[in-house]
Amino acid sequence: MAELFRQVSVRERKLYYSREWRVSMVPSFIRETLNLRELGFDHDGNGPSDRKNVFYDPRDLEDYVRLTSPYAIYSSIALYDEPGEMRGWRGAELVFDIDAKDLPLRRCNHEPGRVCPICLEDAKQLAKDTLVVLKEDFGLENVHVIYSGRGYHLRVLDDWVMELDSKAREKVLAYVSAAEDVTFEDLEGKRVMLSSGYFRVFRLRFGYFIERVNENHLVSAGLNKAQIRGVLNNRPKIVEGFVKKGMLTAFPKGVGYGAMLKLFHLSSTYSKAYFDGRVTVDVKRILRLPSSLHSKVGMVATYVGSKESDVERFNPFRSAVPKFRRREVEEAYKEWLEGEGGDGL
Amino acid sequence: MILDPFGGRAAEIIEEFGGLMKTLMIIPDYVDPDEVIKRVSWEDKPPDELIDMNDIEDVLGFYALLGALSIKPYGFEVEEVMKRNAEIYLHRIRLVGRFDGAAGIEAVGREDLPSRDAFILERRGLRGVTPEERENLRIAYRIHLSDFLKFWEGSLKDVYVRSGYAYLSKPQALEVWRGYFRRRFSEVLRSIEGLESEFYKGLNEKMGELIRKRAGSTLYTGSVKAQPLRFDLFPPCVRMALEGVPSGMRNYAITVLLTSFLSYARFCPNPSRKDVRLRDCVQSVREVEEEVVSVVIDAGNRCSPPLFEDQPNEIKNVWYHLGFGFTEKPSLDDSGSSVWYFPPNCDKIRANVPQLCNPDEFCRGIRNPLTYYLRRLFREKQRQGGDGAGTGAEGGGDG
Ligand code: SF4
Ligand SMILES: [Zn+2]
Repeated sequence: MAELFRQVSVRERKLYYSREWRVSMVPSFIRETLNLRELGFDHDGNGPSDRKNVFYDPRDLEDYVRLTSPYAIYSSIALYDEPGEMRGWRGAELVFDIDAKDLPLRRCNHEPGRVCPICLEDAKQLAKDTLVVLKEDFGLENVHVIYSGRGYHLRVLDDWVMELDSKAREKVLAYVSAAEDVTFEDLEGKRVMLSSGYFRVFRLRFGYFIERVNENHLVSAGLNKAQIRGVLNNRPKIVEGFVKKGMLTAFPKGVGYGAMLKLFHLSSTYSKAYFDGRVTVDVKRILRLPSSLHSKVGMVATYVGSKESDVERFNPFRSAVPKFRRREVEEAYKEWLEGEGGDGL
Repeated sequence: MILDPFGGRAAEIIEEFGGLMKTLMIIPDYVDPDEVIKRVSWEDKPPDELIDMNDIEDVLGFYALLGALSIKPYGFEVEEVMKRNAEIYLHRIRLVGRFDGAAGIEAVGREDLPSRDAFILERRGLRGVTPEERENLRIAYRIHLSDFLKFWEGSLKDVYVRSGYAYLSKPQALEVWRGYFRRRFSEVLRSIEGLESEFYKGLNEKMGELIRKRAGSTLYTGSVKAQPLRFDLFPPCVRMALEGVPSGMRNYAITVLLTSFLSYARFCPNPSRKDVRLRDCVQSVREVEEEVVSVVIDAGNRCSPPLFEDQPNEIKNVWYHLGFGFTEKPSLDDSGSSVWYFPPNCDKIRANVPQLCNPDEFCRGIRNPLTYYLRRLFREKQRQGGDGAGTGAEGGGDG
């Protein structure tokens, strides 16, 4: 049986880096500042122990990678005056890391810690929602989405964002992940209906939540039988009326403020977990280099684009597969569709 | 009229004098210390002469105070000078009804928001909102998020965010401005180095005297706030620490005893559980800074040699004992990063620094300095027949 994801061999790594990969595949937002970034390499699958490398010329990076065919390549999200010493911090990209293997509210049935096309599709949905928030609410223009091999990275390079300290990034993260509870006052004062700002982000995340939530979740949230039925039978109406338009009347009869607050709280509890917050708050992190091979899963970290439609169109099983695995992945995908994944997508 | 001592017209004036350091050099020739002190000595509300004043005089007076603070850039004085001068400018801002671009705050009209959102934010659909309240809810300003994130202590949920801006009501804008003033004040203060002149030393002393006297009259007799500290009821060991101690005892007396005692006495006299955090008892870090840390710093610097001048890093240790982890500038969220240290028991104190313990009549049967304080507080209220410190005081934690 062919596999969608699998570890690749040393020989296959060599194949990829000598035949397929060129340094020109590294996105220009990294190539142009390469001399200001720290690069890290994992040569054997035990983590990036070869750190604090600097390449003043992209061709030097190309030579080094061709020569070593590393297990994984990382570059700093920070720019430094002296990247080799990690000194003279000039700023860092703002990063959101969505890992498909850690997502709550899964729609698929395999064991946790693995990914399938459905989890990846969910991660993509979250990446797209996040892109919208970053552009519309924060007015950001220099945002890039990258398929990381097992999820998505959003990387922001607008000047003012590069300068933010960890505390400011925490606040941005709390906003983007709708981590703060909606209160009774927010409901009563109708702030939850606002067409922009925190409450719109909250409703966006709530939409993702309501489309995936099941009976067990709602029982544990403390809803009664009638309320649960009401919510589950009215998902499209809630999405249409509440998520998109902010109308509280979209909730069915019997779901009053009390039940809504329980739902909202549960939604926030989950939406906090869509992102790996440590990545967002850390201003000196290293991140998988786009175009490099994710050797554990046999996929290529791939630049997706900066527009919603780029994300929408992106299919990792078409665009992020190294050539030496094309046939294998194609076959595995077919098998998966015929088997477990048939009705999920 | 200058609305922002760090930008606009004020910055121009400083530029004309040849920059900040040059300005500080010429200030002694132009400025009368007694006039400058007036910027700090007012009560209740700044007097008219401070509101409507000549621009140059205003700028020189303000920077004269910063120069004087740079001699000892920490503690009570900094807080006081910052707060009172912020009020002078805020008073003017309220008077003219605009910010003149200070802190990057710009005015907007109602039409800049979708009308339904403006309707919701102003609570126009709701009854029982007075016109004045409504005026305070109206979105009147905006500020770019890059600035907002620097100056706002709260969360992004508190404000209306759209296209890279935070939209603000007037009270919110004033709060942002305060954050801006605080930040710029500290930055400028930190940038001033090596002012040795007699003028600034003299001004510093005058200012210190005034502020200590005032602090004495409010803090030591207490009753300004709901639960002010009653310094007169503190146990002998704490009082000794407050007065400053010799070098061998400094760290224990100040960082351990005083920090823990003041913070629990002020914010959580009867902890309901062992792992209580300061964030459960206060609204903002600022309260802790103003009511505990500044007193600790003051006492530390009354030691010989002054503790925090000697060991600038010790301030991080103070925050550590308050439960914020080893940090210099904590946020409320940091509370819980380390354990909020409970005041040590008397036998611990005697074991560590025997000189601190000089028991008086009330110390009999007492095992912890906090209990001493709570018991005396309780008796005091009983004696006055007041509604009091609450019956829980008697049992207050022997930790
Ligand atoms: S007995 Fe306890 S409370 Fe009294 S002075 Fe000594 S240490 Fe302080
Ligand atoms: Zn899955």
